[in-house]
Amino acid sequence: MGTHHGGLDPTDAHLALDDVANARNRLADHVGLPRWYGVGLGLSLATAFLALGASGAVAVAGVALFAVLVPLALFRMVRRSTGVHQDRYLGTPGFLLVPGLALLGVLAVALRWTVGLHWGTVPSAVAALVLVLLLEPRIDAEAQRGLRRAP
Amino acid sequence: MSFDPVVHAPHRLQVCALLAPVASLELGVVRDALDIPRSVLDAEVRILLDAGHLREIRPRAAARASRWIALTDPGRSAFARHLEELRRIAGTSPRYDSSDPVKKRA
Repeated sequence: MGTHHGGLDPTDAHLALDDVANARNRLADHVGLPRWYGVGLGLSLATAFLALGASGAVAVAGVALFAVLVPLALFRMVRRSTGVHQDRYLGTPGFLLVPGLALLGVLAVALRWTVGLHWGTVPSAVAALVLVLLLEPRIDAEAQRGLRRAP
Repeated sequence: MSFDPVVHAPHRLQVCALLAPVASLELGVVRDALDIPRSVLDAEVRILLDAGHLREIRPRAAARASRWIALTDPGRSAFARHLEELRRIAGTSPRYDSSDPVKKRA
């Protein structure tokens, strides 16, 4: 069996690769998201959709608060609570969230301001909540798989 | 050269392996994942910092107790090249899967 750098042979290299895989598996076991994150994100985005039904400054403030500021605060809280800063949305089912939510936003605005239904934003708000609650566990699982399979 | 002696030491290799797929990690998470004493981890992290492979992210006052670390771009490249070299020596496919005993020992 030939040796390489510093006497490293294939067995040593296998053991080193085992160490890499084991460390990543332990990290993946650790990074599961707290349940409050998905619930909080879903409720925040649903509230933002409801705010679309208001008029003027209330709608703008509601969307800015619940679609931007609260989700950013949740991202920061979850980062601090898990000790892991990881992009969980690119390369996972998470990328479906953005077009899905944008579509629901268009639907909500159309129902409220084009069709004139005063409750028109409610179905979109409920759909946004359900979408987040359904997708978040899958995003979380995919993020953990991504850690284990990282190149 | 692909083989990086700074990265290759077992604990340092594992630290880099943990950091490669994420943006940054809190040091306590690294310590828990590796199950090594704080003093040992601090020494290994110091070596990687001095080599320019790691950067420390300064916490704000509210989170003063926590220390975060991340791979630098050169550190990420060095680790990727080192991993490729290990796979070449081991004769495994690029996507090494330790859960697959057949592939692992092939």
